[in-house]
Amino acid sequence: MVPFEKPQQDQRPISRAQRIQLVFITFALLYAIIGNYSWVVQQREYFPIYSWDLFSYIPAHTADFAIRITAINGETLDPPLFFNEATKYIPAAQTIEAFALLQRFGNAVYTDSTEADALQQQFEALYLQQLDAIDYELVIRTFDAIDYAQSGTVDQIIPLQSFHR
Amino acid sequence: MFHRSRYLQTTEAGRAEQWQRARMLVQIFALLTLYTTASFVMPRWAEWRVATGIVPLWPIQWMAWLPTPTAVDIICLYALGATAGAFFFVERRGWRLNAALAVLFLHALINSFGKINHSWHPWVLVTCAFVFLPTGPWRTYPPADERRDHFYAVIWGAQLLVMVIYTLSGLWKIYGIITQWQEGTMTALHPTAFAYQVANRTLQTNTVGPLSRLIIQVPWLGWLPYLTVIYLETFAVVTVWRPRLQRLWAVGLIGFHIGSWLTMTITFNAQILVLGLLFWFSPFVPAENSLRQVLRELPIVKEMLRLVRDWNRLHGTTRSSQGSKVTIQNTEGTEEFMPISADRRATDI
Repeated sequence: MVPFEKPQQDQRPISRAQRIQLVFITFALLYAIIGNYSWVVQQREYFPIYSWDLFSYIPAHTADFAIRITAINGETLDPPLFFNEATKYIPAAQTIEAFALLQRFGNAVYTDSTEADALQQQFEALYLQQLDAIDYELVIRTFDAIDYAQSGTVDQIIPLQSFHR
Repeated sequence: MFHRSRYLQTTEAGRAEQWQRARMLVQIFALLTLYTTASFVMPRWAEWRVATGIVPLWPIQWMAWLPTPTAVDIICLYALGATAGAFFFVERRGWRLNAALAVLFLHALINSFGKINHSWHPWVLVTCAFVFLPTGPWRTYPPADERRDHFYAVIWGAQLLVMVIYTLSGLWKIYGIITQWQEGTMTALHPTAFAYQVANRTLQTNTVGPLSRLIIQVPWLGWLPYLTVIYLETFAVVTVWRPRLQRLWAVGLIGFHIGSWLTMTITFNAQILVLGLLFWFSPFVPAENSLRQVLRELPIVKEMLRLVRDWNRLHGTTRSSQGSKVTIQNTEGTEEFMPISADRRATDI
């Protein structure tokens, strides 16, 4: 006599469609894990995997690295121009790619990173190569974003290093 | 996971249209992949050949072994050839695989200039996902059940990959709210939060969108849209399991991308196309999809409704359950019971 009847189980094998879905779910989970691990721990991205940490924080009172150009092609600029205002000389000055590379370059200089020289070379090769000569300084700006956008008010400009090319 | 009843249309005509829609979706995607590839390659090919400052991302690190012009020629020719092949022979997996590799190489090249842009990531992922579609012919109708389910499962998988991206973005914003709240600084819930995002972006690039100044001058205008975007992003992945919501999310997220351009000059053209194709044109949206049904499926709303229903059930009769009760009179007296169809599973489908 069998004391307990074995419960009936669903014996249907998993279908191909379900297997495909499981693969996609697994990939999506791995995507999220790798994307966030590489972003948070390694501070890097493995294209096309990303954490999607975009606009996550409100930059009410913030700071950024900027380039202040003091002379271009032998002509002194008074007042100096910020890099993203110099579209007359540098057509790609307003691109977000230039801004992002500038932040990496500025951060490398600020932290005395070994990457600083390579990033400087990359930045100059991409954006300053067409100029005969340029004098610029890397600075940190601190500001309230709305005040700065409305009236141009900057709390502080801290020079980090000057460059000549 | 994949409830066939939930994803299949209920009528024969509906199922035929669903199959046609799914096939067309893939064909239109292949055409757009060819078009967008050509629109990337043709204007920049010459510029890339002489570019300096390229730091190749991992998919194209083999560029280091070749002169830059040769490597660029290979990537561009391969991209054009493979995506054209995938359009003309979309039913052949080999061509789709080549197109996925070519798109990966091309976008790796585009992003090898110091910053990785993210707007084309979903496109690359969907191109890779479609490699898993069954090999053709797809024209026969009705297709065998297994073949049809395979096809739909891949489209479902592509939807999942796209929406996971939005959900990650939403979760980061929630994390940002928590950390900034703990720090005592302004969070994304503040009425002027979005205006600060817009102002900061205009400072980064020194560019102004058509609505940037308005949002900066009247900061509260962006409050509700910003909160809505956080909700849409955070729960985006839920729509993969609730197909009734897919069109609403397509409209909401496309509106979000258009808004991003109007206020912050950020273009997400690829995402607009992907959302339109995979979610507005989704083969899984039921033919009958009233506003009421959509609203009842909304994340949080659905869970709240379920909670209320369970609470009422636990505490006796409810208006809805009373209406569903069946009274049977037999020789032993009167008996009341609730039919199974009144259970919550009935509303899941």
